[in-house]
Amino acid sequence: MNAHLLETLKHNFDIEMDESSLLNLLIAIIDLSPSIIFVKDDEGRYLIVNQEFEKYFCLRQSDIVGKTDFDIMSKDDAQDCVDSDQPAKSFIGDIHSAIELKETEGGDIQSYLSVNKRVITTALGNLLIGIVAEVKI
Amino acid sequence: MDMEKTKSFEAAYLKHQVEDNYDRFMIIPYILIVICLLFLWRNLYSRVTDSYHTHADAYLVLWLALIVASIAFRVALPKVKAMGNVTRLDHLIFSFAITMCISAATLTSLDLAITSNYTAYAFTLLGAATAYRTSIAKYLVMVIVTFVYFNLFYFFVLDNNYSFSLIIPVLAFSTIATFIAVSLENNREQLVHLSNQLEYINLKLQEESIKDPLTTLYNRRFLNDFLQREIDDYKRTAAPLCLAICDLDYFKKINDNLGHLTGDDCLIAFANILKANSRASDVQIRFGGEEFVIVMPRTNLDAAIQVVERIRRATESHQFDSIPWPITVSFGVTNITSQDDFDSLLDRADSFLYKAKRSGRNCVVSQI
Repeated sequence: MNAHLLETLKHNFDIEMDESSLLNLLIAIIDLSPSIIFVKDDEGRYLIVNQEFEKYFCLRQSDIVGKTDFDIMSKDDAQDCVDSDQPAKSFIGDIHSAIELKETEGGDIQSYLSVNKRVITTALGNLLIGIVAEVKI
Repeated sequence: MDMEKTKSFEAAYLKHQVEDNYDRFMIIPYILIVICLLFLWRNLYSRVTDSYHTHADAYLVLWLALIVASIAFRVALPKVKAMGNVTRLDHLIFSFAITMCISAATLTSLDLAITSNYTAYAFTLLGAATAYRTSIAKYLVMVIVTFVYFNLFYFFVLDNNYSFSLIIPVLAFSTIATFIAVSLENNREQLVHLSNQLEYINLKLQEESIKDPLTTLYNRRFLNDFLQREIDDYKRTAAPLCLAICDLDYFKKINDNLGHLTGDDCLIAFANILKANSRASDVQIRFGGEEFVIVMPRTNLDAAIQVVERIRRATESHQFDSIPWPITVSFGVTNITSQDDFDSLLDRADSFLYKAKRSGRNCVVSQI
């Protein structure tokens, strides 16, 4: 996963941890988050999703990883997702924030989704990290 | 503040009076010289009666003195004006007006030795009342000085017996002339006041016709003229020009959920962000509703993107009053090309704005 982080842990804390352990640690952390978290590769395929993501889309992780937005949602919704990744992809390294208001059936707004995306460059290519949190008003 | 306004009006009014006087007093010496020359000719070639002959030399001196004074005044007037000192010019014209009145009083005193002729006195005082513009105080000084001088000259210098009936016409002319002068000047002052007010109202109307009353930014009417001028300028000079259209994200939800007053406050706050984060050369326009246009003359696309990114970030981090969710804005930015006209430039920026809306909002989309 991250050779430098592994080295630092080994050196500073005398922790013997292999890359799969670090990955498990990372997944355990993101699974604890109440926000939806995902990582996509350059082709738009999901590499990592957390449990909140599974709950939101009512899908299991195994049904999501390796798939694109077009495989797991309607064409229009998928296109919207792909389009909304563009600003983050245009400025690699910058965090792109956006909000999405959520209305009740009566048209009231009681919460909004805070969408934050960032593209980082790794040995696996450019990875898009997304965190979507629901904020109650 | 009112004192300052009054002072500035007084200074402007004095300038207005002096300029008016200047135009008239550039001609008056010529008229005086012609009159003096006619009387001088009469004096030299038609000394017909003995009584006239009594003061013939005095008349001669008076006509010559008036000719010299008129020439000197006519020469000095443009020179003093060139110095640019309004007060000095005012003093010079006042001195000449007093000289004319005293000359008229002298002339009338001499005339009264022959006949009851007050023509010079009446003509000069009434002429001054209509042609010479100054303050009431100065008119009064002029009339009183002339009256006192007339009495001294006629009764003491020429040694005539005091007669009140002789004074009555002089008093009457002086009073009538003062009333005419005061009434005319009051009317002129009112006229200037009204014309100033009209000018101010015209300016305000002109400004209001091109400004959006809510945000105080320029409106679409201004954009139509301004952008066309900038496009013409580009076609002549090829200097770069960029245009950005932006739209507040989810603005309708603010109006629907929080009321139109909150929506208005949001627009005002955003207009302030636009102004604070644009450059002096950028022109911000409320295009309609929650859409705004920024015209960036002599700006290339990279610089334009930097400007709108700054505005986008400032909006994102601004805490808008009474709005419980973050307000963001989407931008479409484009630069002009040689094929562009007004509509194509706006349409392209609008299509980029649409893409920005499709791309999750709160972003800048351009052809890069």
